[in-house]
Amino acid sequence: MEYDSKLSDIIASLPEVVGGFLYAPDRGIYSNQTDGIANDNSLQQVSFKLTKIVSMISVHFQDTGGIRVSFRDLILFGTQIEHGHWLFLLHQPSLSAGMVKMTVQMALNIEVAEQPQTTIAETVVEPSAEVQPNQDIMAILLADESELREPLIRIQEELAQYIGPVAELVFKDSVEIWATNNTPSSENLPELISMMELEIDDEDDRNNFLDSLKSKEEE
Amino acid sequence: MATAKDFSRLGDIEGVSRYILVRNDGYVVSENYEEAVALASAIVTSGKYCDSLSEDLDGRRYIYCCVERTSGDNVLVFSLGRYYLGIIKHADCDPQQLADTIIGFLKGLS
Repeated sequence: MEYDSKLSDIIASLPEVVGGFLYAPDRGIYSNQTDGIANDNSLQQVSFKLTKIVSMISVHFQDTGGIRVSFRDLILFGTQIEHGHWLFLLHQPSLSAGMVKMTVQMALNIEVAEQPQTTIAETVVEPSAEVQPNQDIMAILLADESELREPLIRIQEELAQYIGPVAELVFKDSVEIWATNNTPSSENLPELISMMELEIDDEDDRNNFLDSLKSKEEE
Repeated sequence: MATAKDFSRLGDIEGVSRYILVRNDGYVVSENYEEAVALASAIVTSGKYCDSLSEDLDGRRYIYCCVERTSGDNVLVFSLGRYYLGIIKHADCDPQQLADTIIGFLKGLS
């Protein structure tokens, strides 16, 4: 389905919708129709954060669908459309949630509310032949005989120093995404570290996290 | 200064099914939800992510975030400085109206 044009149709059909964008974890932002409200890098960050939130909540509640973030003058609505792809709309608060949902549903010709709900981790990427299903990945990577066990534990411990008790949850989530997008190997660890880095808000802490991992790697 | 007991009145608000108030280190301050401890880290992390959206969206501060569920028992997250408030709403309650009620309640505490 050509989501680009569908997104344009939605924006054109509702005057209160001021823009929208499309996101997939493996492609990033692939359609930015926000008319300068935000650039691709910013939207990439926004998408990453919001899809992570849904992913985390879905660990507790299996029927999560979309997400809505309310700002003073704007509402950001996101819904998972297919195979890990997300459609986001920016609209004025005067537009009702029901109208937005109905318009999206009609434009995409899908039963949004009745789609089988799955977690992000389950739908983001088709696992490659070498990669086990997500539920087994952590156990395999952290097995005693795994060459990645030591570096992964070190990364998790370092991360915990900066983001505290949520580190375990964030770490597990990130490793699962990393392992399904990459062949888990020492060579690909920088990709994982880059993902972890995004979890640390404070710039100094982020740099300390990276320096610390680098120095331990050199030891 | 609001106390944990003040927040316990959240459970009496019409439309609130469950609530959980968590400190930013994951400590649960007040709740009426049996799975509060398990949910705490997700609430804190969600709140922190939402706080950081202002960096990406031209300084806009979020008011609340709502994770939608097909059951209608949506999860709302509010940031209260060093604390984060998670609300699981009743399915038949309008999320915007409930958010307004919660905001009014929080303003009444300060």
